[in-house]
Amino acid sequence: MTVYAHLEEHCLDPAAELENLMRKTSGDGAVVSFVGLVRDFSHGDQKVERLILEHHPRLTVASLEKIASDAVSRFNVSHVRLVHRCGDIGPREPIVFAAAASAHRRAAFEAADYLMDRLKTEAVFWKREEGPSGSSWIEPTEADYADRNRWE
Amino acid sequence: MKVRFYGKLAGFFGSEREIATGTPCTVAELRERLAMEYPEGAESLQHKRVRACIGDELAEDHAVIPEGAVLEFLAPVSGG
Repeated sequence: MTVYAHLEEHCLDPAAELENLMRKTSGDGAVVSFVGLVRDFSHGDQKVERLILEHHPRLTVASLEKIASDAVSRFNVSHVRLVHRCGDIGPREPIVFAAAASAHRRAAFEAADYLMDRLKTEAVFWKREEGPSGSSWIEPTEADYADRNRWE
Repeated sequence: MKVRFYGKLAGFFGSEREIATGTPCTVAELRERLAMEYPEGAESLQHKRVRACIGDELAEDHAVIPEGAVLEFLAPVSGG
Protein backbone atom coordinates (compact mmCIF):
# COMPACT_ATOMS: atom_id res chain seq x y z
CA MET A 1 0.00 0.00 0.00
CA THR A 2 1.28 3.48 -0.80
CA VAL A 3 0.09 6.98 -0.01
CA TYR A 4 1.73 9.75 -1.98
CA ALA A 5 0.91 13.43 -1.57
CA HIS A 6 3.00 16.10 -3.22
CA LEU A 7 2.93 19.87 -3.64
CA GLU A 8 4.21 20.70 -7.12
CA GLU A 9 5.62 24.16 -7.70
CA HIS A 10 6.47 23.95 -11.39
CA CYS A 11 4.82 21.44 -13.68
CA LEU A 12 2.18 18.78 -13.17
CA ASP A 13 2.25 15.99 -15.78
CA PRO A 14 -0.91 13.88 -15.31
CA ALA A 15 0.27 11.18 -17.74
CA ALA A 16 3.50 10.73 -15.80
CA GLU A 17 1.61 10.63 -12.51
CA LEU A 18 -0.78 8.00 -13.83
CA GLU A 19 2.08 5.94 -15.20
CA ASN A 20 3.81 6.10 -11.84
CA LEU A 21 0.69 4.84 -10.10
CA MET A 22 0.08 2.11 -12.68
CA ARG A 23 3.52 0.67 -12.03
CA LYS A 24 2.46 -0.09 -8.45
CA THR A 25 -0.81 -1.83 -9.20
CA SER A 26 0.18 -5.45 -9.02
CA GLY A 27 -2.92 -7.34 -7.90
CA ASP A 28 -5.26 -4.40 -8.40
CA GLY A 29 -8.17 -4.46 -10.83
CA ALA A 30 -8.99 -0.77 -11.00
CA VAL A 31 -7.39 2.66 -11.22
CA VAL A 32 -9.50 5.82 -11.12
CA SER A 33 -7.85 9.17 -11.73
CA PHE A 34 -9.11 12.74 -11.80
CA VAL A 35 -7.35 15.71 -13.37
CA GLY A 36 -8.49 19.22 -12.55
CA LEU A 37 -7.75 21.96 -15.09
CA VAL A 38 -7.71 25.73 -14.87
CA ARG A 39 -10.79 27.03 -16.65
CA ASP A 40 -10.63 29.72 -19.36
CA PHE A 41 -13.60 31.52 -17.86
CA SER A 42 -14.75 32.19 -14.32
CA HIS A 43 -18.33 31.85 -13.07
CA GLY A 44 -19.23 35.35 -14.19
CA ASP A 45 -18.07 34.53 -17.74
CA GLN A 46 -14.98 36.63 -17.16
CA LYS A 47 -11.91 35.58 -19.07
CA VAL A 48 -9.25 34.02 -16.83
CA GLU A 49 -5.67 34.75 -17.82
CA ARG A 50 -3.87 33.28 -14.80
CA LEU A 51 -4.78 31.37 -11.66
CA ILE A 52 -2.60 32.12 -8.66
CA LEU A 53 -2.55 29.43 -6.00
CA GLU A 54 -1.03 30.69 -2.78
CA HIS A 55 -0.04 28.19 -0.12
CA HIS A 56 1.14 28.01 3.48
CA PRO A 57 4.76 26.99 4.10
CA ARG A 58 3.77 23.98 6.26
CA LEU A 59 0.01 23.58 6.53
CA THR A 60 -0.56 23.05 2.81
CA VAL A 61 1.56 19.91 2.53
CA ALA A 62 0.17 18.68 5.86
CA SER A 63 -3.39 19.07 4.54
CA LEU A 64 -2.59 17.12 1.36
CA GLU A 65 -0.98 14.33 3.37
CA LYS A 66 -3.93 14.15 5.76
CA ILE A 67 -6.52 14.00 2.99
CA ALA A 68 -4.58 11.29 1.11
CA SER A 69 -4.03 9.16 4.21
CA ASP A 70 -7.68 9.53 5.26
CA ALA A 71 -8.72 8.18 1.84
CA VAL A 72 -6.56 5.10 2.30
CA SER A 73 -7.95 4.53 5.78
CA ARG A 74 -11.54 4.98 4.72
CA PHE A 75 -11.73 2.99 1.49
CA ASN A 76 -10.48 -0.41 0.49
CA VAL A 77 -7.80 0.97 -1.82
CA SER A 78 -4.22 -0.13 -2.34
CA HIS A 79 -2.71 3.16 -3.46
CA VAL A 80 -3.53 6.84 -3.42
CA ARG A 81 -1.60 9.42 -5.40
CA LEU A 82 -2.32 13.11 -4.95
CA VAL A 83 -0.37 15.90 -6.63
CA HIS A 84 -1.41 19.53 -6.38
CA ARG A 85 0.04 22.57 -8.10
CA CYS A 86 0.80 25.86 -6.44
CA GLY A 87 1.97 29.17 -7.86
CA ASP A 88 1.10 30.81 -11.14
CA ILE A 89 -0.92 28.59 -13.51
CA GLY A 90 -2.29 29.28 -16.99
CA PRO A 91 -5.68 28.35 -18.48
CA ARG A 92 -6.12 24.65 -19.35
CA GLU A 93 -3.06 23.68 -17.31
CA PRO A 94 -3.53 20.87 -14.78
CA ILE A 95 -3.98 22.01 -11.22
CA VAL A 96 -4.55 18.68 -9.47
CA PHE A 97 -4.11 14.95 -10.02
CA ALA A 98 -6.00 12.67 -7.66
CA ALA A 99 -6.03 8.91 -8.17
CA ALA A 100 -6.63 5.66 -6.36
CA ALA A 101 -6.06 1.99 -7.16
CA SER A 102 -8.03 -0.91 -5.74
CA ALA A 103 -8.88 -4.55 -6.27
CA HIS A 104 -12.41 -3.65 -7.44
CA ARG A 105 -13.61 -0.47 -9.08
CA ARG A 106 -16.09 0.93 -6.54
CA ALA A 107 -13.50 1.69 -3.87
CA ALA A 108 -11.25 3.52 -6.34
CA PHE A 109 -14.15 5.61 -7.69
CA GLU A 110 -15.26 6.56 -4.21
CA ALA A 111 -11.74 7.34 -3.02
CA ALA A 112 -11.11 9.69 -5.96
CA ASP A 113 -14.46 11.43 -5.38
CA TYR A 114 -13.67 11.76 -1.67
CA LEU A 115 -10.21 13.16 -2.36
CA MET A 116 -11.64 15.92 -4.51
CA ASP A 117 -14.46 16.84 -2.12
CA ARG A 118 -11.97 17.15 0.73
CA LEU A 119 -9.50 19.11 -1.41
CA LYS A 120 -12.11 21.66 -2.46
CA THR A 121 -12.87 22.66 1.11
CA GLU A 122 -9.87 21.65 3.24
CA ALA A 123 -6.67 21.78 1.23
CA VAL A 124 -4.80 24.85 2.43
CA PHE A 125 -4.67 26.99 -0.71
CA TRP A 126 -5.93 30.41 -1.60
CA LYS A 127 -6.97 30.84 -5.24
CA ARG A 128 -6.98 34.09 -7.11
CA GLU A 129 -8.13 34.45 -10.70
CA GLU A 130 -6.56 37.18 -12.76
CA GLY A 131 -8.15 38.55 -15.92
CA PRO A 132 -8.66 41.72 -17.96
CA SER A 133 -10.92 43.23 -15.29
CA GLY A 134 -8.54 42.58 -12.38
CA SER A 135 -8.23 39.79 -9.86
CA SER A 136 -10.71 38.05 -7.61
CA TRP A 137 -10.43 35.48 -4.83
CA ILE A 138 -12.13 32.13 -5.31
CA GLU A 139 -13.57 30.51 -2.20
CA PRO A 140 -15.53 27.29 -1.75
CA THR A 141 -19.25 27.51 -2.48
CA GLU A 142 -21.99 26.15 -0.24
CA ALA A 143 -22.30 23.32 -2.78
CA ASP A 144 -18.63 22.48 -2.19
CA TYR A 145 -19.25 22.30 1.57
CA ALA A 146 -22.36 20.16 0.99
CA ASP A 147 -20.30 17.80 -1.19
CA ARG A 148 -17.73 17.56 1.57
CA ASN A 149 -20.40 16.83 4.16
CA ARG A 150 -21.66 13.82 2.18
CA TRP A 151 -18.75 11.92 3.68
CA GLU A 152 -19.56 12.69 7.33
CA MET B 1 3.13 39.84 18.79
CA LYS B 2 3.58 38.79 15.20
CA VAL B 3 0.38 38.20 13.21
CA ARG B 4 0.34 36.72 9.72
CA PHE B 5 -2.51 36.85 7.23
CA TYR B 6 -3.20 34.53 4.30
CA GLY B 7 -5.37 34.67 1.22
CA LYS B 8 -7.55 37.70 0.78
CA LEU B 9 -6.90 38.77 4.38
CA ALA B 10 -3.36 39.71 3.35
CA GLY B 11 -4.87 42.27 0.98
CA PHE B 12 -6.49 44.06 3.90
CA PHE B 13 -3.91 43.63 6.64
CA GLY B 14 -0.64 42.87 4.84
CA SER B 15 1.12 39.50 5.01
CA GLU B 16 2.64 40.16 8.41
CA ARG B 17 2.04 42.71 11.11
CA GLU B 18 3.55 43.40 14.50
CA ILE B 19 0.84 44.09 17.06
CA ALA B 20 1.65 45.53 20.48
CA THR B 21 -0.47 44.06 23.27
CA GLY B 22 0.15 45.13 26.85
CA THR B 23 -1.43 42.05 28.41
CA PRO B 24 -2.14 38.56 27.11
CA CYS B 25 -5.29 38.49 25.00
CA THR B 26 -7.49 35.88 23.37
CA VAL B 27 -7.84 35.18 19.67
CA ALA B 28 -11.31 36.76 19.74
CA GLU B 29 -10.04 39.91 21.45
CA LEU B 30 -7.27 40.34 18.92
CA ARG B 31 -9.67 39.71 16.07
CA GLU B 32 -12.04 42.38 17.38
CA ARG B 33 -9.23 44.86 17.82
CA LEU B 34 -7.98 44.32 14.28
CA ALA B 35 -11.52 44.63 12.93
CA MET B 36 -11.89 47.99 14.66
CA GLU B 37 -8.53 49.30 13.53
CA TYR B 38 -8.98 48.09 9.94
CA PRO B 39 -12.72 48.32 9.22
CA GLU B 40 -12.24 47.62 5.52
CA GLY B 41 -11.08 44.09 6.43
CA ALA B 42 -13.45 43.54 9.36
CA GLU B 43 -16.06 41.49 7.51
CA SER B 44 -13.47 39.18 5.95
CA LEU B 45 -11.61 38.69 9.23
CA GLN B 46 -14.80 37.89 11.15
CA HIS B 47 -16.09 35.43 8.54
CA LYS B 48 -17.10 32.16 10.20
CA ARG B 49 -14.72 30.12 8.03
CA VAL B 50 -11.61 32.13 8.84
CA ARG B 51 -9.28 29.99 10.95
CA ALA B 52 -6.78 31.18 13.52
CA CYS B 53 -3.66 29.08 14.08
CA ILE B 54 -0.89 29.15 16.66
CA GLY B 55 2.09 26.91 16.03
CA ASP B 56 0.32 25.32 13.04
CA GLU B 57 -2.54 24.20 15.26
CA LEU B 58 -6.10 25.49 15.16
CA ALA B 59 -6.69 28.08 17.91
CA GLU B 60 -10.24 28.61 19.16
CA ASP B 61 -11.59 32.10 19.80
CA HIS B 62 -11.24 31.74 23.56
CA ALA B 63 -7.59 30.61 23.37
CA VAL B 64 -5.14 32.96 25.08
CA ILE B 65 -2.27 33.78 22.74
CA PRO B 66 1.01 32.83 24.49
CA GLU B 67 3.73 35.42 24.79
CA GLY B 68 6.05 35.28 21.79
CA ALA B 69 3.63 33.21 19.72
CA VAL B 70 2.93 33.88 16.08
CA LEU B 71 -0.77 34.03 15.31
CA GLU B 72 -1.91 33.21 11.79
CA PHE B 73 -5.28 34.07 10.29
CA LEU B 74 -6.22 31.86 7.35
CA ALA B 75 -8.91 33.02 4.93
CA PRO B 76 -11.28 30.23 3.76
CA VAL B 77 -9.21 27.64 1.93
CA SER B 78 -9.91 25.94 -1.38
CA GLY B 79 -7.91 23.46 -3.41
CA GLY B 80 -8.76 21.29 -6.39
